[in-house]
Amino acid sequence: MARKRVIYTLFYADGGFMLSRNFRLQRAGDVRWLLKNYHFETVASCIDELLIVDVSRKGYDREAFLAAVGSVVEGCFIPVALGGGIKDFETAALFVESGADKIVVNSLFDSDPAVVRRIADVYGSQCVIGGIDLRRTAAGTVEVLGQQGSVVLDSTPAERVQLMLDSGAGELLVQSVDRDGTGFGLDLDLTTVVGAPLAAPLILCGGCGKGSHMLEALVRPEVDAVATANLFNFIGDGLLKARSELTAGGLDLACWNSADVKALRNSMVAA
Amino acid sequence: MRAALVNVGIGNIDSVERALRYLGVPYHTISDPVALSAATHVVLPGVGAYRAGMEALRAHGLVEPLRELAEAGNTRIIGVCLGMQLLGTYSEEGDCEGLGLLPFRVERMQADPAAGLKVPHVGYASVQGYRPEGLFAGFGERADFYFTHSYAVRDVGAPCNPGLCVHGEPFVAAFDAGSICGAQFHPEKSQDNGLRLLKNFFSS
Repeated sequence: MARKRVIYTLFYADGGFMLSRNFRLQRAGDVRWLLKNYHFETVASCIDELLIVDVSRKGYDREAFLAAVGSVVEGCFIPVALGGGIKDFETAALFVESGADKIVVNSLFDSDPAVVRRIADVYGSQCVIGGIDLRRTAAGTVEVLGQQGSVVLDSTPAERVQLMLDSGAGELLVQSVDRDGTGFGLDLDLTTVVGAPLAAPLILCGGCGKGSHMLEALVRPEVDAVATANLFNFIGDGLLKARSELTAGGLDLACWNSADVKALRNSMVAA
Repeated sequence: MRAALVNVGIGNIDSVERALRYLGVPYHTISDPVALSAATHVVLPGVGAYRAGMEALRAHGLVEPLRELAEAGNTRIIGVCLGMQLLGTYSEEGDCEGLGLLPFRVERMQADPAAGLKVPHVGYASVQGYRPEGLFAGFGERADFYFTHSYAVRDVGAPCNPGLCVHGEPFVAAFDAGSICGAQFHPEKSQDNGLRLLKNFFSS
């Protein structure tokens, strides 16, 4: 059985990295800030996977995005997923050829599901993460949002998930729009809303603010991974502490030694 | 030390290059046999289909030179992911002959959905059963690495201190057969465990 995972998400937009709260973006800093002041390499040495999403609102400059991705992942030795506004096969292929192990698609399931199928056929379904954005209504139902949270889609969450799986998604990223960026905790009941347990791994995100939030999600059998984009709650050694908390809580995560990643840098110089 | 990273377009080599840069390994990328002879260490990465991998090596005139290097035994060679599988004699994938540097076959992994056993095998998994020397120097009893593959090697067919992983049946996750090594997982995506394994490869 694959191990449970902690995924860290970075939002990139128009040259900088962003914080997201209820899908409203706020600029946090550029690549240099992320690497230097935010000590991103420390973060990267204690997570299982990295997700970087291009949420540019002024049009996509893929070259600039991929250059930023290149700088961020220079000292990262984990699988990397890339996403954000993928509308055609060529963009997905560009991401994969630029080093993405997986890509995240969302609106593409509406605009051109055949492209999702083609991506899965060419690169394998393990390469395709289907993203679904969910919001609770005053009436107590859960609606599916599309177009970066700007429209409500017709399908129910369970229907949407089935469509994504049928179109070739090999993994699902279930996001709570209400909890996004709040740090109030993950919306655990969304797993039931999407019809879990599912045939594909489920990543839950939105609202994760501390280690115990990750733990209460990951102990559930239907949750394979949690993702957090919370830049400030997990600053410094925050993620390292969260990871120890998860292990202490009985989760059999992959074992790393974060400090050893650093110790191995330049260890072969002049050897 | 002079390391050669084989780049014949079978998969993306960026992440392998990052790991070599990070460790401080002096390397150059090569796609023809000329530069191969000067190397003390050769890294053969690869993802994708077996037949396409062999065809790419053949098209770049690397098949015979790699066999000669292995025969001479003075150069350390490591195959990573598909690159490891290509070191064997044959793969069920595409019913295809390999480089034949070692006498192993590559078999399709069997899925068992009822038991939650999926193919491709994707994610972090434990490797164990090795002696902590050579490629595995400095490792504890178990080490976790990142895998993504649908075919596997059950037996290398030569003395090689194998590290084993279980996904249904046990398979060879990595081995160190003297001058020829292999890793079915991606060391470049396995945090300090992967970096340490690569360092060990280049250290002898």
